[in-house]
Amino acid sequence: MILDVIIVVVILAVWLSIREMPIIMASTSSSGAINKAYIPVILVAAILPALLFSSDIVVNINDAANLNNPLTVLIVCIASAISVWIISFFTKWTSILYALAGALFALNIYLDTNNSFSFFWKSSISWLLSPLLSFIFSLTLFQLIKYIVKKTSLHLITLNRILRVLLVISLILVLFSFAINNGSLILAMTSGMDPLLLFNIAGGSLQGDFLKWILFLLLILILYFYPVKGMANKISMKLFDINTETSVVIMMSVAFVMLIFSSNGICSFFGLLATPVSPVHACLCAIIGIGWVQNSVAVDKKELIKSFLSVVALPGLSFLLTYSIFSIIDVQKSASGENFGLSGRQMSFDITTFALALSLSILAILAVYFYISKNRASEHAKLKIAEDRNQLNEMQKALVDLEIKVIQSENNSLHKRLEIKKKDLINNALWIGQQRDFLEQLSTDIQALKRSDSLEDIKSQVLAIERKILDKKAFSHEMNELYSQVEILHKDYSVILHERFPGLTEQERRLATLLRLGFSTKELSSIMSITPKSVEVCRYRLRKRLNLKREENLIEFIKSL
Amino acid sequence: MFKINQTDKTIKDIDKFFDTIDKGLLVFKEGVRNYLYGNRALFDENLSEMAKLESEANYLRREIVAAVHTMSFMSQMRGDILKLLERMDNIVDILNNSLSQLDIEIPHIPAELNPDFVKLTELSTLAVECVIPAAKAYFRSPDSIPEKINRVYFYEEETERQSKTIKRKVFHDMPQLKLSEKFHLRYFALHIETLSESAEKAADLLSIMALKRNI
Repeated sequence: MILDVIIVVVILAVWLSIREMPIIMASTSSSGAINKAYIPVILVAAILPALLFSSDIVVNINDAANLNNPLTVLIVCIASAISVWIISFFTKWTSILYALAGALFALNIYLDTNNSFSFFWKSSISWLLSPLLSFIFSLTLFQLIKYIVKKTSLHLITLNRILRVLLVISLILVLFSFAINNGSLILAMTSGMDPLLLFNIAGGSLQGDFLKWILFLLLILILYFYPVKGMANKISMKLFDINTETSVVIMMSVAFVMLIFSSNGICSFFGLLATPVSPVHACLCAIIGIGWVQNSVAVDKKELIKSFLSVVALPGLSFLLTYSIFSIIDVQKSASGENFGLSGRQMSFDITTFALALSLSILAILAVYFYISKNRASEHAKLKIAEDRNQLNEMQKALVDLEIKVIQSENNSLHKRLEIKKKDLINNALWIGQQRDFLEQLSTDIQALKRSDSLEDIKSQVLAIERKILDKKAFSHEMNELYSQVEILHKDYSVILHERFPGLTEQERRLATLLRLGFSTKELSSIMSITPKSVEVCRYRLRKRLNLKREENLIEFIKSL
Repeated sequence: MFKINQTDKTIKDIDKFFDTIDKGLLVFKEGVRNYLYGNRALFDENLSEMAKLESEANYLRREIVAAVHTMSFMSQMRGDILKLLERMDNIVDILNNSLSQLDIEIPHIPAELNPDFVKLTELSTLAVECVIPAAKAYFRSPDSIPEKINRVYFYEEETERQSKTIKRKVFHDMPQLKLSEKFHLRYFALHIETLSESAEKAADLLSIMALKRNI
C-alpha cells in the first residue's frame, strides 16, 4: 500500500514538474532578471504554504471519483502517464491533467457512477475558460504596464528594479498557484490512503497530506536542478524572446487564472467548481495575448495547433487506456475467482464497447494522419533543400566552367601574341643579317668607285654611299628595337640576368639574349657584325663571366635563367 | 537581492556621464576658438580641463559598466547600454585628442579660414549635442528617440559639407600654402568631422535600441 502511494506521488510529481514547470518557469529564465541561486528558495517559500489552500480542489475531485482503492489510483496514474508520453511525440505543450481527467472519467464509466458527470462537465468549461481568461489578463496587464511606464517616464534602471521586484512576486505567485493547482491533484489521488501514511521523525510524526506535500516539495526541488532548470532554459531559448515586462505579465496572468480556478468561492460566481487547469495552455494564451498587442505572436502556430489538439486527444487516449486496463484486470481476476474491488458495477458493454471501438479507430486514424503528415512535411523540406543545393551546385559549376573558358581564351590569345612576337624577332634578326649583307655590297661598290675615272660615275656612286650611311643609321635603330623587344618579351630573364650578373657588359648581355633566342654562330656573326671566330671568343668570355664549368652548356644555362 | 542604493547611484552616474560629455563639448568649442584666434594661455586651460573631463568620463563609464554587470539586471539590454556608453566615451576621446593634437602639431591655419573652422566645429559639436538628449531619452522615454536623432543626421551632413568647403578652399584657392600645409589642414578638418561621424554612429545605435525596447 505504502509503495502504491509513493509510486502515485512520484509519477504525478515527476510528470507535473517535468512537463509543466519548465514552461511556467521559461519566461523567468528568458528574462534572466532573477539570479538562479534564489529560485530554490522561492520554490520552497511558494510551494509550502500552498497546502493550506488546496482543499477545494481535493474535495471536488474526491466527490467526483471513487479513489479509495490504491491499485485503482495506480492504474489511473500509470495510464495517464503513458498517454502523456505517447502524445508528447506530437507535442510537448500539453498537460497530464487532461490525461488524468480522461482516466478518471473512464473509471467512473467503468464503475457506472453517474454522480460525477456534473464535475467533469464543469471542469471542461473551466478548461475552455482558463486559456481565454489568461489571454484577456495578459493583454490587459501588458497594456496597463505600458501605459504606466509611458506616463511616469521612469528611468530604465528604476523601471527594471521595479520589474525585478514584480518578477519575484509573480514567480512566487505562479509557483504558489501551480502548487495549489497541481499539488492538490496528488492529494486528491492519494486521499484514500491517508490513514496508512505515518512517518516518525525526531520525536514527532509526519502524516497524511503534510507528509505527501513534503514529498511533493522534495521531488520538485530535486527535479528543479535536473532536468527542469535545463528544460526551462531550452524552452526559453527556443520559444521565448521576451523581456522582464512580458515575463511578469505572463506569470501574473497564469497565476491569476490558476488561483481563480482553485477556489470554490470564486468559481461559484460562474456556476463552476474549483478544478485544476492547465498551466501550459494558460501560459501559451498569455504569450498570444502579448503578441496580440505587439502584432507578433512569438509562438510557432503549428505547435499551438498541436497543443490545442492534445486537449481532445489526450483525455481520449487516457480514457481508452484506463478502460482497457480495468477490463483486462477485471476479467483476469474474475477468472481466478478474486474480487478486484470494483464489485457492484453494472456491466454496460454494448455502449462502451462501441464507444471504445469508435474512439480507438479515431485515435488510430489521427495517429496515422499525424505520422504521415509529419513525414511528408519533413520529406518535402528535405527535397526542397536538396533541390536548392543542386541548383546552387549547378550555378557554381557553370560559373567555374565560365571562368575556365575565360582563362583558356586568355591563354590562347597570349600564346598567339607570343608566337607573333617570336616571329617578329626572327624576322628582325634575319632582316639585320640582310642589312649586313647589303653593307658588304656597298663596300664592294666603294672599291669600284676608287677605280672609277668618270666624274659622272663618281657622283652617282657618292650618292649611293650617302644612301648607304642612311641605311646604316636605320640598321642601328633596328638593332636597338630588336633588343628592346627582346627585353619586353623576356622581362623576367633580363631582370634575373642583371641581378645575378651585374658585371656583364652591354655586348655580353646582348650575346646572351641572342643565344637564348636560339641563333647559330653564323647568324650571330651576321647580327653582331663580327666574324664567326669573334663570336666564339665572345662566347668563351661570356662563359667565364657566368662562372660556368667545362661540362655546363652555355645555352642551356641561359635558357634556365 | 534588489540593491536599491546601488541602482540610485548608477542612475546618477549615467546622468553625470552625459553631463560630462556636454561640458566637454563646450570646452572643445572654446579651445578651438582660442587656438584659432591665438589665445594660447586660454587654450592651455581648455586643454587641461578637457583632460580632466576625459578621465572623469572614463571613470564614470567604468563605474556604470561595473554596476550594470554586478547587478545582473537588464540582461537583454545590458549589451546595448554598454555599447552606447562606449560610443559616447569615444566622443570624449575624440574631443580630447583633437585638442591635444592642435597643441602638439600647432597647424598653421590662415586667418581667412578661421570662420570656416569655427563653423565646422559648431556644426560638428551640434551633432553631438543632439545625440546626448537622445541617449538620455533611451533611459526614460524611448519613444521620443527618433525625433531627437533626426537632427543628428542633419548636422552630420552639414558638417560634411562644411568640411568639403574648407578642403576645396585649401586646395583650390590657396596657392600660397605648401602642399604639406594643405595636407595638415585637411587632416584637421577631417578630425573635427570625425566628431559628427561618431555622433551619427551613436544615433544609429540609439535608433536600433529604441526599436528593441518596444519589442
